[in-house]
Amino acid sequence: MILELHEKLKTRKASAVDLARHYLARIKKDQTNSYITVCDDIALEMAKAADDRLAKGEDVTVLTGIPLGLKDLLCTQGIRTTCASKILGDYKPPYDATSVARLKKSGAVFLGKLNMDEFAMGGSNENSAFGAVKNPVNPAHVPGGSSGGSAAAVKAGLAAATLGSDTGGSVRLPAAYTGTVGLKPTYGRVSRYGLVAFASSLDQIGPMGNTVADCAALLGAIAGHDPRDSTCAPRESENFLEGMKQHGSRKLKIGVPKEYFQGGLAKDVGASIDRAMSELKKQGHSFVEVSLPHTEHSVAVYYLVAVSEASSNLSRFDGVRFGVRVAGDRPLVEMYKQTRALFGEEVKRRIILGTFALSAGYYDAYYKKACQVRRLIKQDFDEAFKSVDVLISPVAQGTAYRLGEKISDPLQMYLNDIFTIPVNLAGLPAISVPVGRDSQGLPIGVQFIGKHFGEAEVLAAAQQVENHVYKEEANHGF
Amino acid sequence: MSGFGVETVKRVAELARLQLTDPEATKFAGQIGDVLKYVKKLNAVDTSGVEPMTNALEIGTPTRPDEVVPSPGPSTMVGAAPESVFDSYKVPQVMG
Repeated sequence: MILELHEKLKTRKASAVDLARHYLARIKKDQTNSYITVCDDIALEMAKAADDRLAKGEDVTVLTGIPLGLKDLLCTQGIRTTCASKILGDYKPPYDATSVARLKKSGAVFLGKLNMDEFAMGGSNENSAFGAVKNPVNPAHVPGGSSGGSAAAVKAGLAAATLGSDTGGSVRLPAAYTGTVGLKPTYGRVSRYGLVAFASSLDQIGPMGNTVADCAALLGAIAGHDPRDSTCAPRESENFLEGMKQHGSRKLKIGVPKEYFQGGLAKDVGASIDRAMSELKKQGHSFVEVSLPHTEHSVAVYYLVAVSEASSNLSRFDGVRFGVRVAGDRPLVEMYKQTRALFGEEVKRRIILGTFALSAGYYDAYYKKACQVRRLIKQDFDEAFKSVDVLISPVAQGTAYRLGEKISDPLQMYLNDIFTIPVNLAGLPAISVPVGRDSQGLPIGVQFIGKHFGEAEVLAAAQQVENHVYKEEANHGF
Repeated sequence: MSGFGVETVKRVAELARLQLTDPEATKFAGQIGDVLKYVKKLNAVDTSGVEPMTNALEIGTPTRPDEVVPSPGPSTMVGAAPESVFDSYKVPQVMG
C-alpha cells in the first residue's frame, strides 16, 4: 500500500492533501470505533508540508505524504494522548515519542490516535474507556488487542498503515484477527522513549500494514539508536525493504517448534499453516522440527513479569503530574486512591497482582522465580536458532472470537497469548502475516520468529507467504 | 501461599494506593486466586543456579557524555499537571 501510494505522490499523480482528505472522509464514516482522536487540521497541515517537499523533490522519503494512524499510547506533542484510559483525561504531552518524531521527520502525515486496550492491557480491545473496537471483517467479533484500533484502521482503510505496540502479542494478535500484517521488532530495535510504559522489559513499538513491505518501510523509519532510551540497542536503522529482498532470494531453513503444534489448534488454523508449509517447500525452503521445551511455562512467567513491571510503571498515575485529579480537597493519600480508582477493571486487577508479586515475602517465590524461568525460555530459542534461520508457528489457537465471549475470564484470555508471549520474553523479532480464512470467513495469521535483529529474514519469510501462499485483498479506494 | 482472599486484595490495594469497591475486591479475589494457582506450576521447574533474567537484550547500562542539552522548561512540563503553582506541582495536604 505505502509503496503504491508513494509512487502516485512522487509522480504527482496525486497530492498528499488529496490523500489525507480521502482518509479523513473515510474515518468520518467509520463503523469500527478505531480512532480515539482524529486530528483533521494537523493532518492537512502536515500533508501541505509534504506536498511542498514532493514538489521540490527535496528530502522525499517513502513515507512523505503517507497518512498514518498512531496507537494512543505514543506521546504526540500537543495532540491528546489517552492510553484509552479515563485517568489521563485530555492530557496533551509536551513532547513527541522518538518514533513519532522520526515519522514526522520522514514527512508522514498523522490522521489521529488509535483505540486500544487501556494501557495496552488486553487481547481483545474490549478494555477501552472509549468503547470496544469492532473487527472490520465481522463486527460481531473482536479485532484482537491490545493494538485493536491500529489493526482495524488498516483493514478498514482508515489509515495507509499504523503503529501499534507489542508487549505479549499486542501487534501480532490483532494483525492475525483482522487479516493484516504486524511486526514486533527485536527488543531494543525501536526506541521506547515517549511510549507510555506497560512492561518496560517487554514493550516494543511495531508497524502494522496491509502488506509486508508496508511494515518494512515503516520499521526503517522508526528503528535505530536513541540516547533517550537506555535499552535501545546501539545500532543504526537499516533499509529493511532492501534486506528483505536479499533474504527473499535465499532458501530458508525454517524451524517448526513441536510444542506449538501439540493439540488445541483450531482445525482451519492448522490446515492453513500446513498448506503454507507445503507451498513454501515447493519454493525450495526446508522445514525441520525443533523443540522449545519451556513453552508451557511462558504464560505464567509473562503474567508475573508483566504485571510486576506494570504495577511499578503505573504508580506514576497519581493525580499529581498528569491527567485528572479526583478528591483534590482531601489529604494526599486519599487523593491518590480516589484518582487511581479511575483505572479500568483489567488495569486494577494487574496492579493488584503485580503489587502482590513484588511484595515482601512473595518476591522470590513469584517475581524472581519467573525471571529465572524466563532465562530458560530464552535459552530454548538460542538453542533452536543454532540450526534454523526462522521459526514458524500459529499466532493464536483460533480466529477472532465474539465480543464479550472471554471478558469475564481473565485467565482464559491470558492463555490465548501462548504463541506470542515467548517471543517478548526472549526479546525476539516476529511477524504475523495472513495465511487464509476459516470456515466462518475470519482471517488466520501465521507467525515467523527470527533471531535477535533478524527482522529482514522474518520479513522475507512473511513475504514468501504473501507471494506464494495467500494474500488478503486490500482496497482503500484511492 | 494458600487462598487469595478479599482481605489480601484490600491490603494489597492499600499498598498500591488504589481504591476498590467491595464488589471489585470480591471479584478480584477469585480471579487473582485462579491466576496464582495457575502460576504455581513454575515451582515444578528446576531453576537452581539459573541467573534471573530481567531484560532480554542484556546490553548493560550505556553511558553518554555529561553535557547540558536543551530541554523543555519547567512551565511546559508542569503545565501538564492537574494543579500547579509557581511552576511547581501542587499537592493536597500530606498529613491527614
